[in-house]
Amino acid sequence: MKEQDEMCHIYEADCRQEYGGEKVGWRKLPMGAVITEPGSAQRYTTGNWRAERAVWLEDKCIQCFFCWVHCPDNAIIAVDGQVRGIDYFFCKGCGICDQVCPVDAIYMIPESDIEATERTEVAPGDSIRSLEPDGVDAARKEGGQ
Amino acid sequence: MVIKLREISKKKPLFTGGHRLCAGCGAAVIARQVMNMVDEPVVIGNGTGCLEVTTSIYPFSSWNVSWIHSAFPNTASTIAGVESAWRALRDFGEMKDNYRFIAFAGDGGTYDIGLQALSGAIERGHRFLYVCYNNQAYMNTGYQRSGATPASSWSSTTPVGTKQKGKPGRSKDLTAITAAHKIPYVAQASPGFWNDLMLKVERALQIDGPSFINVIQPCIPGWGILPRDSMRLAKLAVDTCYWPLYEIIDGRECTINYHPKQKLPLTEFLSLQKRFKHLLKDENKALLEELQAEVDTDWEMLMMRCVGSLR
Amino acid sequence: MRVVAETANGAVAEAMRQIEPHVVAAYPITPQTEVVEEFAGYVSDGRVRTRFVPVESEHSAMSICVGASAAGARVITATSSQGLAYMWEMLYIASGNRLPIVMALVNRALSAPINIHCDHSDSMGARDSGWIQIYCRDAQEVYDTFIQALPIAEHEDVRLPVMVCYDGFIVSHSLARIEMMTDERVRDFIGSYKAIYPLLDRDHPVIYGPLVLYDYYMEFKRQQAEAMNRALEVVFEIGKRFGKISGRSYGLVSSYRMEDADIALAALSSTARTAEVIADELRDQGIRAGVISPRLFRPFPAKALLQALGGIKVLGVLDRADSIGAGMAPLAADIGAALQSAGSNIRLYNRVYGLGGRDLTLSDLKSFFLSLERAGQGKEMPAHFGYLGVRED
Repeated sequence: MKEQDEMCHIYEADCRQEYGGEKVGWRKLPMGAVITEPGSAQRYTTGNWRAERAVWLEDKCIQCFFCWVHCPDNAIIAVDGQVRGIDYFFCKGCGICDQVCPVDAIYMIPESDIEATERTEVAPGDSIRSLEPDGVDAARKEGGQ
Repeated sequence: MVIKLREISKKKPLFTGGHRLCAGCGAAVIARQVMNMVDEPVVIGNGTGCLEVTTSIYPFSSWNVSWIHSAFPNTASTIAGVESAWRALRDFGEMKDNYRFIAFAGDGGTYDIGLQALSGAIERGHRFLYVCYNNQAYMNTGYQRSGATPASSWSSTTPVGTKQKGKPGRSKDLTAITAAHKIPYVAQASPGFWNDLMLKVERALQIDGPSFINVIQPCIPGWGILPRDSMRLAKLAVDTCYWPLYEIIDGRECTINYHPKQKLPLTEFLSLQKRFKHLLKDENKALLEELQAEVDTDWEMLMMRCVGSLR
Repeated sequence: MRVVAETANGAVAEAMRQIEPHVVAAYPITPQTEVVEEFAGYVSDGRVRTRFVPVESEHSAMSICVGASAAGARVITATSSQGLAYMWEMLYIASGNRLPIVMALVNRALSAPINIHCDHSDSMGARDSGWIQIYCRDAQEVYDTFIQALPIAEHEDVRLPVMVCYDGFIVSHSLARIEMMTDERVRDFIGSYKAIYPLLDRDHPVIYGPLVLYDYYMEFKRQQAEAMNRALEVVFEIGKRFGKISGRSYGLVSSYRMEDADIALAALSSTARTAEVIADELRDQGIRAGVISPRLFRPFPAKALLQALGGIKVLGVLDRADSIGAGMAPLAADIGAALQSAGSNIRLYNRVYGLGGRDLTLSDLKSFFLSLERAGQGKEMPAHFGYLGVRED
C-alpha cells in the first residue's frame, strides 16, 4: 500500500482538499519542523496494515471497556460512554481486544475473508481523513465505521 | 477504587490512533492508559525511542497536546526545562495555567544513557511524572541489551550461542535507585493491570514534585511474542511476581499493591516468549532455576520491606 | 550610566541581572564559573526572579535550555571547552529547533591534554552547529555584545541561538574599565520576549522535535541556513542601534588603520588589540600596517571583510585554534574562501598561535608582521601555514 508519498503538506488548507498536490518547499514550512497541528496522526490510516480484523458483537458486549482500555490504537469506538464498534481506519488487527474480552464479544477474522467490496480498501487519497474542528472524526461521533 | 472507564472514554483522546507502533505494542497501550488520566494543560517530554519515533513523524503526530522530543539521554532534563520555564513564567506573573509535565522514555533512555539526566532532575525536585516504558532492551534499534535486560534473556547483543546463553549477569533495580533519591512517589506498574496503573498515574500527577513509574512493556518483535498475547504477558509478568506492583513514598514507605492469589511459576511467563525459549531446554535447566530463584528472592525481600495491601 | 572596574565574567553576570531571563541553567567549568556564581548571588538575594537551575552536567544544561526556550521562556547559559564539547549534540538541536538561546562562551582549550587556558578550539569546533558566533576583544565588548545577543537571537528573521565568545582568563578574569548602562536602558533595548510556538500555550499546543525523514529534512536545513544568512544584516542593524543608546556602535568587522594599509593582520578577540600595538610600531617605521578583526564569525561576514581589506596586498591571519590536518586553520580557511570567491589577489599567510594559553609575544608578532612586509615586496616567500611561539626542538 503506497504511503503518503504524494501527499501535500497537511497545513496547506487548499492542498489538503485536493490530494495530489506537491510537497511544499522550505519557504512555506513552519519554522524548525514544529508541527502546529497536534493529533494530526488521526488523519493517517494504519488500517491498511492488518491481516485480520476485529469484529464486535453488540449483543454479547457487556460494556466492560476492557477492549477499550487495552487497544493500542484507539480503535475501539466509544460514544457517550458506550462501546459502539471498531474503527477500521486504525485497527491493525493485533487481536488484543479478542484476547482480553471476558465474554467473547470480539473475535478476529482474516481480512481476506472480507468481501473485496466491503473491505476498507484505502486508496492513497482516502488515507487522509478530515477532522471536525474539535479534532474528532465525524464518523466516530456517529459510532459507525 | 475503580477507575470509571466509561466516563474517561468521553474525554478527547490525548494520545490518538494513527501512530506507527507495532500491532499490539505495549508502549501504545501504556501511553493511552497514562494519557487517559491526564487533564490538560500538560506538556509531554519524550526521549528518542520507539514511542517517540513512531508517534511524531513529520507532519503527523498522535499526541493531541504540546510535546517535545529533543534527544536520547535527556528526556528528564528536557522536560525539566519546560517545567522550569513554567515556574519562571509563573514567578514573572506571565502564566496562570497549572501545568502538568510527563516524560516518557524507554528503559534504554532511562536505565542507561538517560540515567544521569533522570537522577539530576529528580534530585533537583522538578515537578514531573517520569514514565519508563520498560521492554527490557533497546528495542527501537534492534533489540540490543540494556541495563534492564534480565539475566539469560536473548538480545541481539547477547544472543544465545554455544558459549553464552543470553545476557550474563542481572539487571539493575532502577525502581530502587529512583526511590533512593527520596522523591515523593515511585512505583512499578503494568498495562495488564490498567486500574492499578491508572490510579498510580492519577496519584503521581497530584504531586508538586518528581514522581517515577516503571512500567513493564511487552514488545512484539523484541520479546518474540504474538501481538494478541501482549496484554496477557503484561498480566503474567505480575502474576509470576517477575514484575511486582508496588509503590514507595518518599523513599521510605513501601506498599505492595497486588498479591497474586497464586504465584505462578516463571515458565508460564517465559514460555510465550522467544527471548526466553532457550531456558525451556533441559541443557539450560540451571539457568532457568537461577532466574526463578532470583525472582523468588526479590519477591521475598520486597514483601519483607513493604506493607502488603490490596487496594 | 556608570563606570566600573569589572572582569568580563562579572560584566556578563551583571548584564544577565539587567536582562533578567526567565531561566538560566548552567554547570560550572573554569574559566566560566564566576559568571554563574555571581548570577547565583543575585538569585539568592532576590534581585532577579530568574529560575536558576544548577544542573548536573552541561548536556543537561543545554537540554534544559532547549526545553525552557521551546516552552516560551527567555533562556541564558554559559560554558567553556569540555562543557561545550559535552553539550555538542544539543547545540545542533538548539539551532535546528530555532531556539533563541544566548550563551556566554568563555574560550578555553579542548582536551587532550587537559588545559584550562585560552584558545579558540572550543568555539571553532562548534562553528558548523548553526549558532551565531560573535567574538569580543575586551570586557566592554563582552558586556555590550551580550546585551545585543538577545535581540539578535530573538529577531523574527533569525531565531537562532547566539554564542558570545571571549578569551578565557585574558578577558574573562582581568579587571577592566567598563561603562555599564542603566537597568532601564538595557530593558528597553532588549524589549520583552516574544515566544514563537511556545509549548506552554494551552490553546495552541505544538509538537517539537518530530522525526523528519528524507522528504522534509533538507528543506528544514535550508530554512535554517537562510536564517543564518539573514543574521548578517540583523547583527549589523542591532550593532548600529546599540550605538545610538550607548555611544558605542558595532559592525561586523573591526578595522584599525586599514584605510591606506599595504599589509594587515587578521585576528579574533584580544589578540587583535595586541596586533594594533605592533601595527602602530610599524607605522612609526613607515610601514603601512593595519589590523582587522572579524567580530561576527558565524555567519561569516565575507562581504564586510573584503571591504575592510581594501587594497592591501598581503594578509596574515592569526588563528588561536588549529584544524588538524586541514592545512589551514579555521579563520584563515574562511577568509581564504571569501578571497577566492571574490577573485582577490590578496596573498594569505596563516599562523596558529596561543594554543592552551601560550602567550603570543610582541616580538613574535612583530617578526610575523615584518615577514609579511617582505613578502609584499617580493623579498621573501613565507610558508602559507605555520605555528608561532612553539618550541620546535
